[in-house]
Amino acid sequence: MARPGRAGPSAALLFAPTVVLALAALSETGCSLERLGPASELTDDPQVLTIRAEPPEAHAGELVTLEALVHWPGDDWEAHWLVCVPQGSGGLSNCVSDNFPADGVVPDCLTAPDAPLCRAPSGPVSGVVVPPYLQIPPGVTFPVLVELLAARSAEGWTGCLPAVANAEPTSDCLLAVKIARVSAHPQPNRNPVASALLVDGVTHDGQTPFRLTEDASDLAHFSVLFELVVDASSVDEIYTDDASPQDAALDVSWFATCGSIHGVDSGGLRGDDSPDPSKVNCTPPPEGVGPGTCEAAQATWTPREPGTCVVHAVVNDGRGGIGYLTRVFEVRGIAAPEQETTLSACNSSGGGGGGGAGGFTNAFGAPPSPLLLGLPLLLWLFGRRWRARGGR
Amino acid sequence: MMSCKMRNLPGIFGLWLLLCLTAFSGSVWARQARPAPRRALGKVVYPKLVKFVQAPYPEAARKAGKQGVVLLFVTVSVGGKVTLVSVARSLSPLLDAAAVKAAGQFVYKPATVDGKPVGARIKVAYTFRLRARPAPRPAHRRAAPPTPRPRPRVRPVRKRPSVRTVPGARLGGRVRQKGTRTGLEDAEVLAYVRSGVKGGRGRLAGKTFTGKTGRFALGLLPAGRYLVEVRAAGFRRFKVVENLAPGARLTVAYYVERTSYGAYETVVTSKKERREVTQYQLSLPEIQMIPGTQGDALKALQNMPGVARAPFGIGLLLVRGSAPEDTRVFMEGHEIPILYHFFGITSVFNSDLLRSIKFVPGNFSVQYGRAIGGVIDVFARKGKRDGWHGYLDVDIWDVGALVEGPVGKGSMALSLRRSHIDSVLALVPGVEVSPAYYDYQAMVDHPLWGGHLKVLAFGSDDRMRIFDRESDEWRTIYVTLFQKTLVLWGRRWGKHELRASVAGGYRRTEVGTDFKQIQQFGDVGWRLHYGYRVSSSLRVSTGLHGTVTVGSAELRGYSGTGGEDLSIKGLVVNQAVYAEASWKPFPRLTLIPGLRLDYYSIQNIGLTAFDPRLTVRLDVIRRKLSILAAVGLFHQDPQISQFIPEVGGNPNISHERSLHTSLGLNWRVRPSLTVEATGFYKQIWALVVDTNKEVWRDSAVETEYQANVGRGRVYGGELLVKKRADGDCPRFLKLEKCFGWISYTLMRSERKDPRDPWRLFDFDQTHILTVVLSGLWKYGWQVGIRFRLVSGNPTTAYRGGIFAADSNSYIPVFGEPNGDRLPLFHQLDLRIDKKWVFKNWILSLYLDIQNVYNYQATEFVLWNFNYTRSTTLNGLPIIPSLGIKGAF
Repeated sequence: MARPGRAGPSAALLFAPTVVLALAALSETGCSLERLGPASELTDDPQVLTIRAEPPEAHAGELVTLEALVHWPGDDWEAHWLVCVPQGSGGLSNCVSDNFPADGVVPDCLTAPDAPLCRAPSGPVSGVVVPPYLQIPPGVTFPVLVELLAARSAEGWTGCLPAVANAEPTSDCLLAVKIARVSAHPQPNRNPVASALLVDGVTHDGQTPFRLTEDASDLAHFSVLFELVVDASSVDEIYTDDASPQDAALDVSWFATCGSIHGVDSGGLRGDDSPDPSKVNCTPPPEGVGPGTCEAAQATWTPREPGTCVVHAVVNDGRGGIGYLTRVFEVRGIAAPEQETTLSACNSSGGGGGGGAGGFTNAFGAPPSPLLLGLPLLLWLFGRRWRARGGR
Repeated sequence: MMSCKMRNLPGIFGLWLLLCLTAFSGSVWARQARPAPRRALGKVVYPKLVKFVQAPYPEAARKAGKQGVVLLFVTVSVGGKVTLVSVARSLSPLLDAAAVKAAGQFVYKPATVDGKPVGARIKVAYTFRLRARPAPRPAHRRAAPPTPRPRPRVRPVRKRPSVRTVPGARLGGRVRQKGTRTGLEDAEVLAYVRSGVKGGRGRLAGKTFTGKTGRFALGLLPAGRYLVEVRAAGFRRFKVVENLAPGARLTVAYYVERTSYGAYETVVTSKKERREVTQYQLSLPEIQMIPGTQGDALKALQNMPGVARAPFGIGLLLVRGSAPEDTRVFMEGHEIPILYHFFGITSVFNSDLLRSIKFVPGNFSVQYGRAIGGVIDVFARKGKRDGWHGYLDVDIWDVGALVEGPVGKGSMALSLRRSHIDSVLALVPGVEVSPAYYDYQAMVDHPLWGGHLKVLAFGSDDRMRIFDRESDEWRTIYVTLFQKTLVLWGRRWGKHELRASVAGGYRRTEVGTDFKQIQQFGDVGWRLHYGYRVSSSLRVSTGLHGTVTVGSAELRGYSGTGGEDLSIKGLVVNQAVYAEASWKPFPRLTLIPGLRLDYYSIQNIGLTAFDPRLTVRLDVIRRKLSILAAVGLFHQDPQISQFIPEVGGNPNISHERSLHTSLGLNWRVRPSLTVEATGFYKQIWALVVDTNKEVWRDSAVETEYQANVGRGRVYGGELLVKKRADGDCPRFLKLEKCFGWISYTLMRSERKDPRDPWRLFDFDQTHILTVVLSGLWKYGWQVGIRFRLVSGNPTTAYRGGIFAADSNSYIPVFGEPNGDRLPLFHQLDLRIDKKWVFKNWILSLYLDIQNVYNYQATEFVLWNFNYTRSTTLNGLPIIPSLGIKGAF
């Protein structure tokens, strides 16, 4: 959709004061966004966390397995998959809506593999065979759009048809897309593998819930350190065709069903608008021999409340390769904190923040000086005294 | 409009220059208003009063003991009739009205120049005396254009008793304004023989008027004790007892206090012929007192009709539905890059050095161009010549100082200002921004070659730093600075007028830290204007306006170049020639046609534009009701970056264009009350908008990022009801004087991108209402309020987001573009001023409170990560600002 024009660097320059002003209102803006909730804090609202295609880059005729990682508390949900091959000059972004049939009947990919838009089998895990006619010349990568419809069971595919056709998601019909790459590359991209999660240096085995127990008096300061270990051999980005070494940085997103997670290095997580999210830095093997190494990505988790909590970590190589890891925790002996003052200065106002009703703050969200508030009174008193002395 | 694009300019400007010089050697032009030098005229005979009409003494004024002199400006026609009377110096509303009414019935023998009758404006002193005296007689002391200004006539003392028998004494000196020490002109100085009764006075022994600089001489008086009185309209009566010894020559200095200071100073400016349907000439002393502006006259522009409210009150000028960059700001006819320090905190030019501000929201004269919105031209005044003056001014934003005084036959002024808001913010915990600014103005003016030379240098520097938590240090993220020097010279002689000016400047802007955009420009501009009065009904003028700009832009860490630095340099040449005429085919009808030709070149690209314009004025009731209509074409140069493909530009970009039409009514309901109403329609086309499509160019497919394919339309109406500062105020408020205005704009501004339907402009505000009221009470207290009620800006809502797994982000699903609107904005501002006038200086204190009832205006809507929930970013809360100023 076309946005209002008159853009460009010089226009940006012209509006630089506006940008600066926005920065000046940083504290309030930050609080406002925090009130909206970061993506890492999973709530009662359903949320698609990632889609993984295995392999992320496939050859024509190869089977690609699709996996959806979805947070959907409460009700049952269904996963439906659409595969769209862009036609002619049509773009990827409108591929589904451009090719969606008027009668709403989308052919099955098994029975109509040549259709530009088809449905793969439903379910959190599905599979589709790359159309054999997509014979891609060497050196070229062809994108195929995979769209996930995560629908509340009550709605199902039928109920969510308008959302899919018009590309307008609703709270019951979530939409997510991923690009499956088709190429004839002899060494296609691979998914990174998140192999382990260390909790304060202890490995979570992934089989049983990890138990966390803490004295209630230390609740406000209680947090644990996560370290995500990525198998360096799965990070193909550090191995090149000509064996020349290169570094790679993979983004990591964290999600938790309780508490909050903050990246150690940058504090940035998806949804926080941070330019520098939590990363896994990998280096190639010395002189190209043997395995490379990856530093663990770190984050701190503050559970805040007792109970069973689920934590997800998603690794993204930026080229379609995705890996994830899910772990369960049992948090015990921890009462809910009275205030969240140590976690966020913004939340201390109980949701009012700088812009809350009745908030008496200055331009930057801070309370004005008592001196300023008393100025009218001072002026009045001064005037009276002056008049009393015969002045004018 | 005709427009074409030329790779080579075939000597158009050389040809024009030749034509211009040819015309210049002949004679063409003249302009009304200012008196011509004496030597240019022939024998002048001033109007002579034939019929005097005595004004009835208002009973209320008689009971109140009001008496004194009302100074009037009386315009006498060629036939000797009085066509216009205005108050030059007020005495009281009742006496003013009586004097105006009586003077309107005077009959004169008209003024003549070389025996030929001419119209003239003269100054008349209408005296009201309570004692039983002969009927008041007007004193004609001065004639205005086209007659020269004679020296004020000092009324001689007819009786000089005892001059021969008792050694006389002389009393003379100077009458000054208390506080400012400015010489007081036309004040009446009376000397009474002191009677034996305590405080009583005897017969009048001598009387005179002060001259231009406030000097007076009572001549020879008998030695003795005298009660000396100084009377002047607008000033409190001054009395003092003087002892004159025989043969003494006593030189005195009297300091007379005004009845009011500041907003209620009478500012008389020459009336110039309006060339635009809507043109707001702002009276500086008044608008400096508008609440919410911190005394900044240029910030008051945002209260004018047709100007939309900018979010957070930042300094964006949104004139008649146009984008901020569509309105040009000039200083004495030369463009300045910015008008306000960031956020619109305050303007970059000291308001106390301004003479006037001309704001034209549309259909402006051909003397201005390269803008499709409006025009603001700011004029600096001369420095004071009656002594050295200055002030120190401190408020919560900044501290400023000014000093000015006479230099030879001219004057100079120097002003400096530096913000301390960064120091204030440093005291607030958690604030991690630090804005700082300064500006300066230096000015010298001097007579030269029969005209007047003015040299003006000014500059501004804004810097914004933020605290980077990661590196634990302060980083500068925004810098904009400019320096500008103007040299202006102008002269009028006979029917000719010539104005020439040259400007040179430098500006630099830096934005960002890791990704940094740096722009630097050096420019030289010039203006040459020549006018000639062909006859009483025809005047013509022509002029040149041009600039040469050398600029460079650097992009450091720009992703579009793979992180490599990008540097671009270039030369931009602007040249324009214009011609305009003012023709009165009938006494009440004025036609002002004009034509402007602009040429713009950058590198090897040349663009030309022809802008014809026409304004028609019909005086339905002379000086009271007039109707104006205008139509014209306007264009605007593309921004330099829009030519550069590397930064998303298009080398085939051309001018943006617009058609302005307006129809206005100007009605002077009462001498102090005017109503201006204007309806307008503006068509905009060839707007540069993002296209981002593949095009076939030079045998290759290229990405076209931008093109002149946007359109726009704006229509609406403006209303301004304004009451000037005088004593005509509601009685129950017991005000000495008051002023105010109501400004209302009803408007709709729309834009259209290719293949999309019409949508609202980003800053479209349907209703804009501003009410300003200010009143002066006794003892120097002044209170003003400003109330604004404005429609919210349009906004585009999101209908959710689609999760993109590969980029780990959400793709927003937009609702109808600008289909929603933010809530209504309303705000009350309050300003309280108090002045203490001492003999040699004035202390002023003001409290300016913005957003008195702390309304939480919604300025932006913020959305969460997946565009399913939103919250609002509110505007500025209550902001009290205290200022103190000491002036001498």
